[in-house]
Amino acid sequence: MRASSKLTIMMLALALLLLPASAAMAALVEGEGYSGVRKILSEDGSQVLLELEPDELFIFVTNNKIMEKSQVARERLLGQYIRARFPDLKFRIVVWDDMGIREKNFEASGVYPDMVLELIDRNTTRTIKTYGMDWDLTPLIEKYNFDLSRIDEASMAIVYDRSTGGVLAIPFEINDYILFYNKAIFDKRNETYPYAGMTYDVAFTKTRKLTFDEEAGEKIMSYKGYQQHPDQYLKLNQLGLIPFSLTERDKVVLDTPEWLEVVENLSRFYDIRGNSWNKTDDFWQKGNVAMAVDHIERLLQVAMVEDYWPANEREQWLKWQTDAGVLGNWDIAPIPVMFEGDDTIYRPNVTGWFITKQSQMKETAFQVIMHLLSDEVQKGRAMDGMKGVIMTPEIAAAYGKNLPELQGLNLEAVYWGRNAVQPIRSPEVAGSGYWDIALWKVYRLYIVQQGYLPEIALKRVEQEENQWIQDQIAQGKQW
Amino acid sequence: MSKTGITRSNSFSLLLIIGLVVGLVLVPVVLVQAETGGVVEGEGYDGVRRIYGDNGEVLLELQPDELFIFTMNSKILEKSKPAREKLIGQYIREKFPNLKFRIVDWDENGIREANFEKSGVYPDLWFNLVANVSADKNTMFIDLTELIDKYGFDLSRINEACMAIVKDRGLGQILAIPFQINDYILFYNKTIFDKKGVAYPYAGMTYDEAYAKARTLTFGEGITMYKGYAQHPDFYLQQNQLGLVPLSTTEPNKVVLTTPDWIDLADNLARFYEIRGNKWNSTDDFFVLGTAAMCVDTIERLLQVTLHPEYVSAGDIQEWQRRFAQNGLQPGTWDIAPIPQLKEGDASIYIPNVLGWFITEQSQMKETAFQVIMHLLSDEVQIARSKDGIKGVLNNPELAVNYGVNIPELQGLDLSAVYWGKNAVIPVRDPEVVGYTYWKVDLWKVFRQYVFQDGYRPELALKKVETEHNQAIQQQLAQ
Repeated sequence: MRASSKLTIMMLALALLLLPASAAMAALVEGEGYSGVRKILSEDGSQVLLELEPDELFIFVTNNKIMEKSQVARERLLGQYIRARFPDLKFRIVVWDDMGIREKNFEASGVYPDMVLELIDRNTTRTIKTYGMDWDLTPLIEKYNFDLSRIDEASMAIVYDRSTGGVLAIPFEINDYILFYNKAIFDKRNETYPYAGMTYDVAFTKTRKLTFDEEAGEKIMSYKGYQQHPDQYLKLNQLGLIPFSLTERDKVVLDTPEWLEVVENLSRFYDIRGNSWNKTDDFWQKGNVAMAVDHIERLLQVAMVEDYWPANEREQWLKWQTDAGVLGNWDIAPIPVMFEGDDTIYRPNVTGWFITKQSQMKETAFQVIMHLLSDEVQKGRAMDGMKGVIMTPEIAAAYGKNLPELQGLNLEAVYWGRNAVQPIRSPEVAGSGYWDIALWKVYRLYIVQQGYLPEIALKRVEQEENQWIQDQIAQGKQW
Repeated sequence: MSKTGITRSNSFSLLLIIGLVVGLVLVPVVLVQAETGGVVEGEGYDGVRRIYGDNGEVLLELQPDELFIFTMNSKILEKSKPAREKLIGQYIREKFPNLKFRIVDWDENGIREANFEKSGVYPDLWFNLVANVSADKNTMFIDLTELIDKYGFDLSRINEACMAIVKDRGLGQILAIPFQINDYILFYNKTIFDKKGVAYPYAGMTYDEAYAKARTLTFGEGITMYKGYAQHPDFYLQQNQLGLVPLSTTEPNKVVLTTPDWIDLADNLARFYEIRGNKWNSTDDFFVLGTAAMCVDTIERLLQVTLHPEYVSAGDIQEWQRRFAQNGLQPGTWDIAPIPQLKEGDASIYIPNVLGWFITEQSQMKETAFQVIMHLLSDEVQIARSKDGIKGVLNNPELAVNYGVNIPELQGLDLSAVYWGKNAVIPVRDPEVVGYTYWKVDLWKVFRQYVFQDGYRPELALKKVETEHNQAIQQQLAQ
């Protein structure tokens, strides 16, 4: 206790000494920084979880499994780029729940991150606004003449819709969805492999053929043709639909021909006898699934990229895939498209950078963001397996080049197509909040568990969720 | 006695000593009471028995001449103390007015099996599912054959199907006397039948007819989807109406599930869950959601949903009334029938889900306990209990006629359904055929793992479970 408080004082003194020096070295934008050491406290205030120097940029990362689990990845995917460009800038990357640090601790300590990486769609309101961290980046975008048109249109549409008039986040990375297929199962039925531009109709035909059982001696296997998580399929749908009215606020709209088309398009797969929805894990863990839609993070996980996962997890995935006979037997393709000739993939599952209202290093943070959005960094990260939001042909072609574990796979699949662009509602219609409605009920409660027909499931969820919103409003809640 | 039990307070230990002294003084008196309906002469304990908890605290004290009755696997006895008196206590009290006894249900005061071992104090009488105790693993219960012979107790009065389970599990011994059957019946929602103008189920209805009804009764209306039929697949297999056991009746250590009978059985139910919209979920769909037209469930469930205040707690009654107000399942809107038949003209219901009485090895009141059992199996008690809604085990037709007459909440229902038909009789295997042990077969995997989750055809699901178990058995035998 005594030693640590001594240390704190020393560090404080040191930090104060360093402050003018580092500013002079142009790491920090002039005039930015904090007047003293910042301490992140435990919720009850009894413990110091983290100390930050006055000139240290505090970067908080959420919703990223790779950075959560791997220190090496934090440096490789983020740290090295900041270090290269801003050699004198001190920064600290904290991933959600590191040392028990969550958003509540910011509130308890009065110390907030300077930059937060968050899911733009779901958490602009649920997290950023809830903790009072929202801050419009428009003045900085204008000051630095930062060109937003370079960024994926679909990701920007989400930013604009969620920001109600401003720009609360800069998109950074898309944990997009791709199709995995088990070549051995295709070969068993002499079925041609999936390809870029394959429609759901074609996938459906393949699924029917690839849902079969087989007995070979003691080994009895029932194969499923197709698994795609229905929640993400709906939420990130390829028609770019959002479950809300475009003209009225606080109103869920699901009982439409477009939504019905989306729902029926997938539910037919799970009506095939033997192809019931269970989970995409089965693809690697049971080896009984011919095609599965899952995300890029999963690709990097099942490819067992060394820098990104702890050794025991990589061993576990190796064992699963070996036991299930899928190791080295699978490849990837883009997800199926809704219509022949279409190249629309999911609405982007995008995370972006927020600068907090509380930050006293806003311009420094923005300069870091601008650098992270440069072609150079976005390409470097793409080479390391991260799909970015700058989608030049050069960046797309570079995807995965640095990762030996990905070689041999059809990596073009990752950047193929265009993300579905959602409508941008006017601020009055979008409202200040974001109703996190239970869209999952359409499939997992009503269709899968309760046996509902798609049309009735959509009607029911629309009605239930509108009721829920009205109940929330009656309780004085905004979202 | 453990010291930790006597650490509470002086007055408490004084009480214990007094109790002990009184107990010792009483023993001779009690022995004399044998003729007046107390303990059988020469039986009883030397002193007070104490059941201890994990921290040495005394959970229960029993007097030296107190018969300790332990019950489990009965929801009604578990939840309602008045039910213990009504369904067991009053009969003992009447016949043995001087016999002290204590009924404890599993986990009451935290008392479970482990506490008996720890305390060296065991129940005298034990009430449990008959099928759960097999002679090869039994270390706790006595062979009742000697007492049966001594008292000339006539086992032929008891339901043949129940006795078959006793004999099969006993390997030549009689470990239990059957007492009551928590049998299965068909519940149907008249409102849903009426919506579609479908005729109600009736005694002797085949599964084919039920299937035709299920198809008509699986439909959507407004924002609600109705399911035609729900029957728990685990019990359907385990308690099957063909009296099949999942083990060879001629060879030891062998699981057999791929016979035409087993395949027919599995196919017979699987077709119901292939009706689009009629997914298996749970029988809550009938009782809680009110959206299933038919479901198969237990007599215990019947007594629960009729809300008889002696069997259901006030809180539960309120909760159910709230649900019924919501889902429309008011009295008069539903009724019961026997479960469907595999073939036209059959009258075979499930292998009995039978509970019975065991006497422990450690008991020093074995004859007293057996006299109690004999009384509980008398025509008089079995008829009286049947009047109170509990299905008994005697062949006496009076039981059936009187079913439920004392329970006002059951009136208006087709109570003849409860005793209709004959329980399926399992084969009694020779000890040589049983082999090393009574292998536990995970029949639940057939439907819930392989058919529903993994999409196997029923035939292959059976084969898969058979193969897995036989492999596991051989591995275990090799060890």
